[in-house]
Amino acid sequence: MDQTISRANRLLTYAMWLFLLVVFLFPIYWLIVSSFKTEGQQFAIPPIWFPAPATLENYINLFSDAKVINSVKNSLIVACFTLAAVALLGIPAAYSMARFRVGGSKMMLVIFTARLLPPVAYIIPLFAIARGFNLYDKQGTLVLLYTFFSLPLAIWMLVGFISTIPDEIEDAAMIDGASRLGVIWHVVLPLIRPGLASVAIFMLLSSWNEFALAVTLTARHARTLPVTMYTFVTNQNIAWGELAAAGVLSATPIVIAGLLVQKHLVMGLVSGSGK
Amino acid sequence: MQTGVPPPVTRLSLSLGSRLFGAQRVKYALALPAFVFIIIGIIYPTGYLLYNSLTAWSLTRLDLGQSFIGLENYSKLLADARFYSSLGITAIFTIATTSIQTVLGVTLALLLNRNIPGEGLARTLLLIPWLVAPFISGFNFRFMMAPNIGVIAQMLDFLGFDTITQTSILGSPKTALGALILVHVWNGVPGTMLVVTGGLKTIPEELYLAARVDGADRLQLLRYITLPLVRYAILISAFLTTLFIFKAFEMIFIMTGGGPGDSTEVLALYQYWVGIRSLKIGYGSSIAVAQLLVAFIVSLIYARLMFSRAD
Repeated sequence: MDQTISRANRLLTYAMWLFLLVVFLFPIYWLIVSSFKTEGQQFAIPPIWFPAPATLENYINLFSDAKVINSVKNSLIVACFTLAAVALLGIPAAYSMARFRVGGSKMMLVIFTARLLPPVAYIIPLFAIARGFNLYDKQGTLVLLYTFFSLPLAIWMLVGFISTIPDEIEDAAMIDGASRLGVIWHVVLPLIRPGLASVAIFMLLSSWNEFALAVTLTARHARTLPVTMYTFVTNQNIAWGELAAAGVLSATPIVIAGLLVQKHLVMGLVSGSGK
Repeated sequence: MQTGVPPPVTRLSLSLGSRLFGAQRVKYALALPAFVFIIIGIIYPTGYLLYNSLTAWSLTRLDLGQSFIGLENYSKLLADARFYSSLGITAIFTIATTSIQTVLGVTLALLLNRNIPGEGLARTLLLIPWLVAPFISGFNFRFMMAPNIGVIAQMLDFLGFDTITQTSILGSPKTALGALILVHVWNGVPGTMLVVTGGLKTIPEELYLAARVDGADRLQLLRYITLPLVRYAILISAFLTTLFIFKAFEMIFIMTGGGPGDSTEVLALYQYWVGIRSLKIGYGSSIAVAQLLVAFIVSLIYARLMFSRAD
């Protein structure tokens, strides 16, 4: 906004930024250092700002815990299958909506509505349905539900991306003898690759992080990582160090991925609005 | 789906798709599975929820089964003090979080919009709290706010607020809700900042130059150019925040579980305790319906606000 910011002004700005960053990032810093502390160091008075020597004990315990390994596996399976299902259903639908206006503004409104439904309000009927149909504690149930709750956002974002491709490019491919599916696969998808990546990250992120449905609908067998982490707390002794380590491990890939697609994050956020 | 006369098919190729279905049908075939999935996904659980809310059904009394009782759950709900209490707490929680987060988010967006080196990096780093999953932050803050020994409790002690920390931040009805509001703001404010920054970047530089030629000072630039032009972005993010906070569940569930007492029991938690923990599906469903209804009303209000501006 200001073309000419004086040096003092600039220094002041940097000082302010630093202050903001310290305040906002301190909890993250604390999570990370806690994961490297021994049990005795966790609640020392005064607090230990930086553990020396750092211990890897928490991470080692985590990796030798069969329950944790199993739930990481569950989380990965659920996230990947959800992503595949969303892609399979969402890409053709988004293409058809963007290119041929199939469904028109009515379907866009339905999708908009679906995106605004609070999953929490559906916990009770879903719980009852899961019990009634023997779908309780199954990975497939989570895949089905996560697909439903993320599909509207995926379609909304994809329609936006696909609309940016000019018709002429596709028509040229069609004249050369490509089929509709061939055009989608060979022409459309490569052209929206960055957009696809951010949609994929959004989908992985939301199923990897989901807690409310998972805690209600899974038990021993299909538990995902967030739910297993919750069981750390309900025990009499709360294993803070391991909890912090699990938090760090679970958040790191998401944070990195999220920062990579920063540009599209706004779109994902806002795409449920306007127009 | 295909009503009236289909438009003439221009056959550009003899692709597999058009040979099998005809070009016109392909486009519907592509969309159909997702449409069916979404529509069934909306109608079935919603219908089931509405139906359950009209029945007496408790999974702890399976012998009684499910019986239709009309609007009885709703009349019970309207006389339920705990429901009103959770409605009030939800309102306070949602309004306070949304206002604080919006004001703070706009402020951050303005403070970071400076066109000097490091701007992008600072903004990227500020996004991290938003990218860390709420359930992880929930555990983390519960840990940091542990009475006497948690790091936040110790810092407050150091600053002389020991009356708060002796009873524990999350364990006292006076401070628990406030702490939850601040934690939700911390988690959500980068989102607001991001959306508002997007709005700021679309304002043409010439507007500021022109206004400055006319002798406008910084405050006037903010008041008459910046804020009116990002108004739409602010409204959108406030709307998303309201909806998001209204359905907030996991951080509250993990940090206080609705306690101490009922002091942080929002609607989402109340229906969870009734429907899932006490297994009263019927009555819990009526609370969930109330929640959907409120979400719907909030959406309508915002839709009016936004579309009256955008026309």
